[in-house]
Amino acid sequence: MAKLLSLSTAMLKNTFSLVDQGRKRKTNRWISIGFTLILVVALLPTVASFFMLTSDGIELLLPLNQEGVILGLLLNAVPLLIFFFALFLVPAIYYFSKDIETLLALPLRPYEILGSKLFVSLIYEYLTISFFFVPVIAAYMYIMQPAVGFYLFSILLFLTLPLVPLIFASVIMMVIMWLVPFAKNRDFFNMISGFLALGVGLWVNMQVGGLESITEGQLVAFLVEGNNSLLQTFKFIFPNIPFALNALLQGSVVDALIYLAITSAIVLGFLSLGQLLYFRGIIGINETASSRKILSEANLTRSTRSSKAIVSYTIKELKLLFKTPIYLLNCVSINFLLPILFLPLFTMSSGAEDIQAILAMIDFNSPTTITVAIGLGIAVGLTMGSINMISATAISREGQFFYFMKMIPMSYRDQLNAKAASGIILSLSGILFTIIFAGSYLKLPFYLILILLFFAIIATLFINYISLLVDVLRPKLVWESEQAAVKQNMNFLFTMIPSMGLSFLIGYVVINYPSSPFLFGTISLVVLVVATLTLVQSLPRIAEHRFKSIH
Amino acid sequence: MIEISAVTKTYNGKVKAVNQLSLSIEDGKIVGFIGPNGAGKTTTLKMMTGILDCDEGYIRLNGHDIGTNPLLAKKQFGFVPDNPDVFLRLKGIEYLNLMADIYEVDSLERKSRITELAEAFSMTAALNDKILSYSHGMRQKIVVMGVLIHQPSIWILDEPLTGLDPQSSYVLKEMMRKHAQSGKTVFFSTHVLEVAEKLCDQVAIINRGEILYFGTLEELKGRYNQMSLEEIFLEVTRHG
Repeated sequence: MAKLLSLSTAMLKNTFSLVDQGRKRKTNRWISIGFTLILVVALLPTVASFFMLTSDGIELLLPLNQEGVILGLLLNAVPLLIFFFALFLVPAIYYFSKDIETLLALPLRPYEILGSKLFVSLIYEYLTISFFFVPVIAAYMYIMQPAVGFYLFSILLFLTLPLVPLIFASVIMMVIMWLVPFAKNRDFFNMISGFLALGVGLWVNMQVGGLESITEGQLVAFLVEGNNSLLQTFKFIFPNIPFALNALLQGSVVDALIYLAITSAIVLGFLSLGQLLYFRGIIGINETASSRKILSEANLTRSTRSSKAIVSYTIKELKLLFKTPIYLLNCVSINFLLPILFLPLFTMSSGAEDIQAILAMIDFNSPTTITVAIGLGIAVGLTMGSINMISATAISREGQFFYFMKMIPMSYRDQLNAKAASGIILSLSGILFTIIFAGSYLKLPFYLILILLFFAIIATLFINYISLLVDVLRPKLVWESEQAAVKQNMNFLFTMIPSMGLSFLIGYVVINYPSSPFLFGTISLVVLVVATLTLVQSLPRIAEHRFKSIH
Repeated sequence: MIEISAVTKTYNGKVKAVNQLSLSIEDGKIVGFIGPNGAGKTTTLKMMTGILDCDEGYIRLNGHDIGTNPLLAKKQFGFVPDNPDVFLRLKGIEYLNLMADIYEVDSLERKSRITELAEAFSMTAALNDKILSYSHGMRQKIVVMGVLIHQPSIWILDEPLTGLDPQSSYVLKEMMRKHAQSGKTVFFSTHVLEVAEKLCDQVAIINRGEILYFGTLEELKGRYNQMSLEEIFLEVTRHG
């Protein structure tokens, strides 16, 4: 236990000292404070909107005596959110992090390493859930003025809530990695292990989660009954949650104790399972099969074909994105996963009927439709260009080999354009996939698909260069795992701010001036093109200046 | 030809890693760069290769200033860093081809050079594998091959022999000799004094960011009669 504690503390210190890198110099400290302020200001509206939304919800449900539904929703949604984040986080922290080989050589038991990894993941999850959990609970406390026990249990719940979903995701990954050594092509299996975990996670959620199927009559009966009876329609995946909900709503100490007992049992069970399985999957994680096959003359000729440096550099970026499991999962697959996640919306019978009914009412030739298509195209372009984080981490992903960029006889202009190109190529693949898929499913007219595509492409060029600018200004070069380079990288937020701001502006214009598509299209086009060209021109100079201060 | 003139580098405005360092290395010479840990060797090499900027002074490689004309200056040299873990997810052949594209080596030439270098370093059977699967020494070899593929006139190497097996170490040393004999320049850092003794035409001894000695080893030995090279090194750095 003592080893587990000291290992967890060391990992935590290491993680946060990495986050804190580059704050030693005074100027950097001011830059950091500035960025933190921007971050707080940017996140405030989100936190405030959760607070307001919850307050409104409670006030709406209070007369029906169903205000507990808010807590039910919170305790249903937050663990699921943690579970999905964990499916991306766990492979990197437990299996593909750089410290694994060092830890394996130390006289540590599997559960000690596993426990410390769980602890680090837990801290990350706290950061994630605080944006949702705190404002909702605070709004509930503000309106309902519950007893002291509620406040105490809320704190306890915040601290323990991520454990079980995190462990569920960890167990799925641990079982998959335990099977890896049995796979013939270990490299490939390592590569797709994250996808397998994601698939299993989604399947479990679809099987177990959601709401009980009830008739309208039953629903009305629940509504009339009061006393938070609607909560009976909730299905919770995680076994400890119903007790937590009871403890919160009824102030039941017994339920709180049962919740804690189940949570502790799951943690202990997980560590015991880890004692059996963890090392079996982790030993040799970095083993890569070597064929030791001599290249044939024809293969050598093909492999040594010359290209322009900028093309070769772009291909290098793409190869690294596809060949690194963490990047493949987080940066590449997301371009294609996002449209697939929307698939049920179109294929579910009621959803499809609703959409068809709405579509039947739309006049595809009206100026309003074209204005909406332009706005939607830009929004898709901005989303698909920023969500994959490729350009926003293009410099960060270099890590300790950042010096390569400085050492080679290739201008920063060419290197940055090659990096942007890799992001743009993958964003465009996602855009094409989304728009053509949605367009053909919804049977949109061809010209409307073209308008959507055109503006999405222009917007994605812009957002990729903006993202690259953010990463040039604040690259995260010191990291322990590739996951940290892409997912624990605040650049994502700084990219989202201009993206969201622009989306709001476009939304405003579309709503207020729906009948001037030509003017709207022209202004959007000119603004995006001029902004992108300015970025393309100025980025190399900014990089030159910024990179000088990075040793 | 390498000209380093009154170069200074200070980290965080406090720690002077290199102080008024000047060196002039003529063509046709192998020069060893020797000094204790933290003496300023790697900082100097990083400034020579454009990875770090000089706070004061200038560095010219074959007459091209690395500060004012970086692209031309960078084409003059090949640099082998002390950590060879580059682009681990690429195959050896993919890495070499990338380097050849960056240094604009044409297809025919690169193919024959890759074949030659792979044979010399016993890497032929490893080219089609990911660098991740290589041992430390093999990674070192692929980085050296990536540097040699464009036949730079100046070689700058940071601890190049660390991790190499005896055969590859011998091959690299022979290559360094041949390179210098053909009128070109080799500048490398090392901790191994025997290597410096056997290989170098000149040595530069650095400590606390300053050059304590630059010249031939014979001249240095002449100053310290009957002392071993190890004793001489300790003596020079102690009083430096």
